[in-house]
Amino acid sequence: MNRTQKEAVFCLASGLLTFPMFAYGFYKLFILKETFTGLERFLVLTVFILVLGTLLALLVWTLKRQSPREVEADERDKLITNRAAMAAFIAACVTLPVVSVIPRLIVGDNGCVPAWSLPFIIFGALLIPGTIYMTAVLAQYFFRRGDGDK
Amino acid sequence: METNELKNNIRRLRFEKGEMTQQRLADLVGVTRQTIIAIEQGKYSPSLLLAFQIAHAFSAPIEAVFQYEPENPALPPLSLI
Repeated sequence: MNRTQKEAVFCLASGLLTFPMFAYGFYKLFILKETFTGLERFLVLTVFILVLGTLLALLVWTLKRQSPREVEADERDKLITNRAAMAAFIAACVTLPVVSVIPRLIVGDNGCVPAWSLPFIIFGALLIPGTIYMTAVLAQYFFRRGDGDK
Repeated sequence: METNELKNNIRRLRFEKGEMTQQRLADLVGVTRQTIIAIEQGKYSPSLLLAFQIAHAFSAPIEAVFQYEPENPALPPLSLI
């Protein structure tokens, strides 16, 4: 595995680990219409810190070269990440508007949700294009029979 | 398993060059070993620049490293149309 693949696996695993927590939070907030209290609030905060910590660790790992001779990313890696970024961008263009109207559909025009739910929803929604990006990167390494620069 | 129209002799040339490793070739041309593997297997067609760099690494002309084999050889070259 090269560095791009390792980063994709690392991010995909992090995203998939946090996804059940976001799904549970969404269920609790919009289906049960309850808010987090006590231990649950602590757990949600812990997940946020873990996500931010993961991103920070990824940043450090990305900046650190594994060996002086190591190639950062070659033309094939760039081609693959560009295609994956396009797929993730399209996914974000679809996901974010859809997610933004879900609270209105569930709680109604005059309903209310806790103020902290907005970053929670946005983080949760960003998991989808993020997951698509990482999956697209890995899928292209395994299945793509592509051409070089056009 | 080669699947595209661009065939290559990289594997043979590596062995003729004193069993040059894929990593050594990758270092010479500035790509990752995975990219060399993909090119060797015909899963990735390199850019023109990379193709010339690989040929240069073997001190060989580019046509000794890469060969174009059209899928439909019945089609005549443009010069004959």
